[in-house]
Amino acid sequence: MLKLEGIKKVYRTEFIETHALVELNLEVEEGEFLAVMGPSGSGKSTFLNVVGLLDQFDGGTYLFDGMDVSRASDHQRSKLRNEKIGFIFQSFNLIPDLNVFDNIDIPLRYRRMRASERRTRIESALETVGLSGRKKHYPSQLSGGQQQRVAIARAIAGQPKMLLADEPTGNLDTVMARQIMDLLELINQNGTTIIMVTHDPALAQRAHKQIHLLDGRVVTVDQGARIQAAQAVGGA
Amino acid sequence: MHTLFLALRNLKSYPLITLVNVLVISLGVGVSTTLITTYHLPSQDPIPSKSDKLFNVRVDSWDPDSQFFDVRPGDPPKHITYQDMTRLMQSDIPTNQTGIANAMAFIFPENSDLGTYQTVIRLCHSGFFSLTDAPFAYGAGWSPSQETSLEPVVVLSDRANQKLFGGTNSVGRTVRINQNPFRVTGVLAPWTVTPQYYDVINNQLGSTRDFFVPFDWIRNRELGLNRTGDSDSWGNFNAGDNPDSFFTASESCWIQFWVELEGDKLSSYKQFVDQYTLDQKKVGRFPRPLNNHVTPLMEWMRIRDVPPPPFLGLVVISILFLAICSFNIMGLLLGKFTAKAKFVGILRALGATRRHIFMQHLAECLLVGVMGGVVGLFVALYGVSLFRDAVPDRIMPPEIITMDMQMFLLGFVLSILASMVSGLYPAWRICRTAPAVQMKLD
Repeated sequence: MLKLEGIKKVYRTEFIETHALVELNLEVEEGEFLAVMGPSGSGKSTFLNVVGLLDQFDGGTYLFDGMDVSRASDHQRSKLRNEKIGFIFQSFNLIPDLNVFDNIDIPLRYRRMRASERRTRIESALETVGLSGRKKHYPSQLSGGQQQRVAIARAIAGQPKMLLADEPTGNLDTVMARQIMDLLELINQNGTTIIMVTHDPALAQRAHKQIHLLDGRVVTVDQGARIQAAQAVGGA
Repeated sequence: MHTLFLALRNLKSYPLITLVNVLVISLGVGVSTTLITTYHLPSQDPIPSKSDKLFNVRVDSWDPDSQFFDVRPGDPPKHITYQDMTRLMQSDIPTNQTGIANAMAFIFPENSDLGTYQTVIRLCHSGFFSLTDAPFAYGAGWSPSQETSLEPVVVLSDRANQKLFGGTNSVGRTVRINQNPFRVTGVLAPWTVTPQYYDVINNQLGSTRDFFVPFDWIRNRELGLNRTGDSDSWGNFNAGDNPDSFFTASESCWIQFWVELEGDKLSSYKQFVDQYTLDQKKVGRFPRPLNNHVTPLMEWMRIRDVPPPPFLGLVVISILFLAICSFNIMGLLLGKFTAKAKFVGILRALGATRRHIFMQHLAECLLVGVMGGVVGLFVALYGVSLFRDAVPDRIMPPEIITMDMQMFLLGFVLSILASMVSGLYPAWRICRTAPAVQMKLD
């Protein structure tokens, strides 16, 4: 699904250079569920920005779905984000002035999709996240968990190949967090690759694979409990 | 459509900034449109239906030893002499032709309550009314034969007819001008030409004269009309015992002369004028080289600085004022667009291209421009009314100080343009920032 080789990202100010990613190498298979862990400042968010084509990188090669995006134009990157990548943020990032339906509608409109198809996709996504009855509600009228489910609906309505989740349960209580994780697992089981940044080892355990970042480098790669269990069953 | 929808949502999210932007743009547009209207009034085509057929005629009868002063270098005097007008009038090439001059006279109303008053009357020929498409409420102008036999006939303006006869049909009634009763042959409908192209030298922005009489009454000593307006002479002419020789023999230039020519008649008319001048040279007049000008109306207005340069200065000031308003709006927009960078970042993450973001921000500016345009036109209407009150009637009559449809449209376009221009840089800047930076994910 994606292959990063020698990725570098440097933030420069007048006086200082910060190496956020240093020779980062990583391969993620299609349909994989990857958890990215690491302490604050380890480069997790930078990693997610680069992988999600939200920011440029300064060196290395990045193959996304078979395409070398190192030299992709801004327009091409926007199109890839729109059609192949879904985002879920810790703070939900819904547009407060738009209702649930219109929030989910935004990325679909950028694709110039017909209204009837957009409606079908939005209703299907809302059904998946269990919010069919809330499409006229505004974000402020929803709980945190519901808002995050709307954000997930917005991400999956475009049927992306990859979902990037940045601390998706960071602002939620335990019950809500579990529901969101269940939802992510369901989406992953349907074939969508998921990369999730998290501080929570328990959540990370639910991924197929965990990587640990430190000072912009991948320091360890662990098979998650779920994949180990699956392998154990296969081996028996 | 969705872009406009998102733009409208954004405007509603920042109501105070939107309001300030609309007010600033409306102030700029209101002031600009007011000032441009003052320029537009005297600069418009005063008679679009036939301005290409009307020509001002000048012949160079001036002093060989000096250049006439109040014209472009090398041009003949701005007026012609009476003797030249009389002879040029003999041509049958023009469809219509008329001399134009002004004279002071006293009016003695039938109703003595109105009292005697002095006014400027228009001296012209019978062709004047057809040439200018003057609209009649009652009757018509006088005929060429009435002119030749110098009948005491007069055409009244609507205003004079209202004053002297209460607005009723006064054709056939008499008006006493100085010592003589003049019979009314026609009453004009309300008619104001801006600018008054046929007399841009003396009455460029004034009202239509109230009384029109056949030109040659100026020679009638008993009637005693007094010429008024610009007049220039050269040479040592002395009328002596024959005051009428001023008209027949002097080189005094004081008459604007107009002809209406159909398209194919211009060259033959120019030949006629040149031939006339050559004939006059044979009798010792026209000492300067052949230098006659048959000038199209709109060019004549340009030559005579219509509208006057100060009006153009007002336009420049208005554009500068609008530019200052735009600059201020640009500052406000920069602040606003920066404040909502995160929102832009979200849209970018969802797949919006730079073009999407740019267009959405310009759409916001478009909406502000539309709103500013609507409010600005009310400001402009108020501004024009203030201008109307401030300008004395003798300089510009109040009825001509209005905003026409062209000005309404211009105001609206200016508003949208100013708003869009002020939004270009902020919109461009917000597009250039990486989505990750806008969202501040770290």
